[in-house]
Parts: sequence; C-alpha cells; structure tokens
Amino acid sequence: MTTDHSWIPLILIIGPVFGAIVIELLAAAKKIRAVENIAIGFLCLQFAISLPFSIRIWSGTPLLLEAYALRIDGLSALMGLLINMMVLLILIYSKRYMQREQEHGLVSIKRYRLYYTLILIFTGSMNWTVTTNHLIHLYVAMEASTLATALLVAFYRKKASLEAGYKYVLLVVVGMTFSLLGMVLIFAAVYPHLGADGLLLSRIGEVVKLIPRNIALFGVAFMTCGFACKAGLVPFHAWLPDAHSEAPSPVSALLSGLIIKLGAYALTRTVTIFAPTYHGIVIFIALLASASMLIGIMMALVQDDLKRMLAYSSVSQISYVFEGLGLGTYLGIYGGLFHLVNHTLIKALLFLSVGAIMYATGGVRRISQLGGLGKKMPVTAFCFLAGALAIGGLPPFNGFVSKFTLFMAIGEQHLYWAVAISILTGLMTLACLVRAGYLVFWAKPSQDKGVAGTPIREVPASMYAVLLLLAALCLVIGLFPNLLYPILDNATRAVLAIWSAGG
Amino acid sequence: MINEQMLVTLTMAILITSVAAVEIRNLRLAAHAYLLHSLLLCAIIVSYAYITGNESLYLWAITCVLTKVIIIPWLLIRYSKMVPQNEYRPIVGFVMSVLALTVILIVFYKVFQTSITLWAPTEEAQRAPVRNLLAGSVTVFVLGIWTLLSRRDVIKTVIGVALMENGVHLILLALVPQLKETTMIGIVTNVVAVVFILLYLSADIYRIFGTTDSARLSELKR
Repeated sequence: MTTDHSWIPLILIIGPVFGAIVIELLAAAKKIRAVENIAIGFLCLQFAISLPFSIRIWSGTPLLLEAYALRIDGLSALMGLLINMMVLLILIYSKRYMQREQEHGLVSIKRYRLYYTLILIFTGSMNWTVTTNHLIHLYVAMEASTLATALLVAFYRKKASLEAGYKYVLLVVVGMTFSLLGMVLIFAAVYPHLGADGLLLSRIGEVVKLIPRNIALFGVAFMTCGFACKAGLVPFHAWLPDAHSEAPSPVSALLSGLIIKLGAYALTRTVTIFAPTYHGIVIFIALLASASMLIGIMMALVQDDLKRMLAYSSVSQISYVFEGLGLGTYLGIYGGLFHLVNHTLIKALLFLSVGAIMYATGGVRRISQLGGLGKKMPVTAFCFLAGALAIGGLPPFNGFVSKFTLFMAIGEQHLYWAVAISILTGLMTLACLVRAGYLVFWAKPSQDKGVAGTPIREVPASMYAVLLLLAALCLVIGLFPNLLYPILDNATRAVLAIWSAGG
Repeated sequence: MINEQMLVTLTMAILITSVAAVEIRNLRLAAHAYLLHSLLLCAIIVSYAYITGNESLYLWAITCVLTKVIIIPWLLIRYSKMVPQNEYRPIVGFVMSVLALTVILIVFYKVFQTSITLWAPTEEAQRAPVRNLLAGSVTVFVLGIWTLLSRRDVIKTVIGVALMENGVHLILLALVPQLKETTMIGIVTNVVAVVFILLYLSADIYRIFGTTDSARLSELKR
C-alpha cells in the first residue's frame, strides 16, 4: 500500500533537475525567454506536490513511503515542505534582484541562466537528502548540495567570491569526508547484525546496543564533526562568513536558511539515534554548541559588514538547533526542529532585507556607510526590525517560542550552564541585530561618505511582498505556536520511532 | 598467483605511490603518480574480489578505473597545463617534508595496525591481510590530511582531497566488501564532481589572482 506513493520523492528529486535540463536545452536552441519564469514554474509544481503529502502525514499517516532506500516520515515532510517553500519564495525575490545584477553588467546572460539551473539542481539534491533512507546516499546527496551551491557562492568571479567559493568547497568536502568515515565505521559494525539493511537509517536504531562501544563513539565523533562542518559550527566555521557574505543575497538566504540546516538534519537522522545509549554524546554536542553560539555572536558584534554579521549570527543560531537535537529527548528534538524552522524563516527574512538594502543603494552593505534609510524604505525597515526582534527572541515573535522550548529542554537535562550560555547569547543577539537595524535605518547618515545624497527608493513589489510574507509568518508563528504543533510533533515522533524500534 | 601476500604488497605499493603524488613538485608528474596510485587501488579491489570470491567487486573495480584512473588524472593533467609547471613552494622544505612523511608512514601504519582491535568492528577485519589493508588505507587518509596542511598550491590541495577520499573508499572496501556496487558508484561520481569544481575554481583563481598560492587568498581576512 505504501509503495503507491513512490512517485512523490522521485518527482521531488528528479523534477527540479529536469527543469534545469529544460532551461539549458532551451538556451542551446536559442529559444530562451524568461528562464526565471520556468524556474519559478517548476518550483510551484514542487511546492504543489510537497504540500498535499505533508498534509496527509499530519492528518494521521505517520509513514507515507518506505521503499527503494527512500522514506517519507514526519521529519521528511517537514523538511520537504520547508525546502520547497523557501526556494520558491527566494526565486520570486531573485527575479528582480538578478535582473538588475544583469542590467548593471555584474553577470553575463550565460551566468544569469546558470543561476537558475544551479538553484534547480540544488533543490533536487536537497529533496533527495531529506527523503533518502540510505546512509551513504545521505552523504552523496549532501555533497551534491554543496557542489551545486559552490558556483553560486563564487558567482561574481571576483577575487573575494572566488576565495569564498574555493574555501567553501574545500572545507565542507573535507568535513564531509570525515563524516563518511564515521558512516563507514558504523555501517561496518552494523553489517554483521543486519546485512545490507544496515545501510537503512531507519534500521540502525535496532542494533545500537550491539555496536561495540569504541566503534560507536569513533563513528559518532567523526559524523558529528562532519555535520558540524556542513552546518558551520565553531571551530569548523571558517567557510561560513566568507561564503554567506560573498554570494548574491538570495543565495546567502539559501545557504543560511537551508544548506546549513542539512547538517542539523543529518545529525538528527544518525547521531541522535546514539544519544540515549551514550550520554557522553549529549555532553559533547552541548559543549560544542555552547562554545559555538557564544563565539559566533561575539564575532557578529564586531562586524561592520551587514552580511558577515548575519553570517556569524547564523553560526550562533544553528548551534541552538544542534544543542536541542543533540539532547535526544522529546522536548529537545521538538525545540531543535522548531528553532530550525524559525531560523530558516527569520534568517531568510534578514538576508533578503539586506539584499533589498543592497538593491536600493547599489551594493552598499557596510553599516558605517549606511544610515537613515528608514524613511526611504519603510517596508524593508519594518521587515528587518521584525527579523531582528524575532532572532533576538522577543515575545511576540517566533524566535521566543522556540528558544524558550530549548531552554526548558536543556534545563530538563540539568545542563544549567548551557541554559545560562544560551540565554546570554540570546541577549547579545538582540543587542547586535537591533543596534545594526538602528544604525542602518534610523541613525543620521554621515554626510561625507556612504549613501547620503544618492536617491534611494523602496524595492519593487515582488521583492518586498516576499519580505512581508516572511515577516508575517514570523509573527503568526510567534502568536499562535500551536499551529505548528501537529507538524513538529509528527516530525519529533518520527525521530523517536527510529530508536525505539530496538526496544 | 593472487594470494594474501600479494594484497599486502599492493598495500605497500599504494602507500609509496601516494607519497610520490604528494612529494613530486612537478604537477603533471604528480598527476601521473596519482594515476599509478589509482591503478594500484583498482588492483587491490580486483585481488580482493578474487580472494573473497565476491563477483560484484569487479563492477566496482571497473567504476574505479573509469573515474579514478581515467577521468580524475585527465582533469588534473588538463588543469595543471593552465598553471605554472611546478607547484607553489610548500610550507615545509623538501628534506623536512620527506622526513615528516616517513615518520607519518611508519608511525601511523604501526599504530593503526597494532591498535586494530580498538577500531575495527569485526573479527575478520582484525586478521591479516585485511588488517594490513586497513592500516594502509587509514595511512593514505592521513597522508591526504598532511597534504592539505602542508601544501599551499591550490592544485596540490586537490590531490590531497582525492587521496583522503581514496583512503575512505579503501576502508569501506576492507570493512564491507559485500557492499552493493551502486552505492559505490554514487560515492565515486561525487569525487569526480568535487575534483572538477575545485580545479575549475583553481584555474579561475590563477587567472584572477595570478598565483596558485592558497595562502594568498586573503581578501576576506579581517
């Protein structure tokens, strides 16, 4: 019965890649018109497919599909919906943003097309990552997502962007090679008990207690380091600020909103299975995450470049997600996933707002060169402020709810030092982001330099509509957090179901 | 005749060719050393298939010949023609580098071989010749990391990444030879894409920065 739905993940994975091929074929036939509309059309289709199956899962079918090394459960549904929705929104935003980059001669027509081709391929690889049930395919799909975004990071082919792209590929690939090593060790230990089925993520939980202690800890340590590298946690974060700041703004939103979340997703699928058996893993991840969130936000405070500041803030926020997911309790995973969703919305909102500022000012992104934009760009100002308050964890917004859940989850495990660090980081985040917002939008612009005197207008409607939608989502989730309860509850129980399979 | 002693010999040979790929300064020659290294890797797979009687490993070997012996060295040679003939001066000098490599080879091989019961998950893996193959593959992995740490040349770094990946693939082969070949094809194709994108960016870096020195990539340092 369950195999009826095997076409869903196939379309989710192959659909966008097919779209990419269509774009390139049309280009080869010189019948190219409005590639962005083709891309948006394909993403609408993706979204239209992912929505109904997600609804089916929330309304009581916990497992939609488990066949051909593919598996769709609550967590896949949550991630799939998030991915396709965010890529769709970011593509709608990109339309005008990239058109202007092309008009200003920053990108050639060929590279303009490449942008959409790569984003479509990237969507396919993301969808593959979250629907696969195969240990090694998980690695391959995550690598594919890194490679698809590599050329997007190095998109402008300037010195800085090339450097960022090279560092990004090198560091993430090396990190992921370590996680492959961890996966190989775990698989080899599982093999005698399960045979070839040992590659299925959903079955590893059955034999966790049979894996020799040394192997389990070696494997988990390697995997955690690899996924932390993909997610950009300190000390593996060297690539993240460079890549986030040098990529085109919509791509920064993709990187921060989705790519680094794959590290957290893979952690949930693999490492979390081991957390109930080995308490040391919980402490290890809590230490890593605490150090990372504190160092990340301290680095963010001293940045003058808006995008670098947001990038370091991402380092800090993804650590909250890791900390929650690493706890291995219901509340911890629930809070971690909740913050994952919220951070995706908030960080996309913030990066796209900065993109709007760069669009309006002709590429200025230094706080010291900006000022007084609030009157000229009221919508962007409002959206940025909403994002800043949300990420700082102020009550009417979604960041508050998920952070509070995380504090409770960490406290429940008696890791009070970690709670203290998380609260301190939250306060520093609020200070950092609100200060930046104040300086950019309301402080008096300095007359001698920067953008004072140049005409600045609000961005086009297709761009600020996306900003407003994201800001509204942040507010609505903050006011009615129960709206997401069935989705997150389903996802959390999907994670828990895997390790309780062993009894 | 193919026997277990031969597998050990091949493991030793693969270590020597890895050292050559790391140490040779002429990039084209280093790429050829890498080609030899990959060829030996395929020979190991074939002899392993013969010893264990696992037919599906032959397909795995063919995939490796296609990607690791043909495509990756071809890409390396093609891109090394676009940059200066010799790699950018490494962080450590030649004598020091050779000494360090020798120490790494002996120490890591010895340590991993004697501590095998600590980290090899099955009893089969803890006996010779799998034991030697495992120690050898971990050493190849460590050699790759050493290359990344001690080399500044962007193309030499790519060879380092490729060595690291080959090390992991050998570990996978040694631990679970029964693995389905389709999985392996996925992993191996991935490496080709990684190598291609890194080389592509390296060529652009040389074109725009005018150097292959990765330490000179410091536009974004605060």
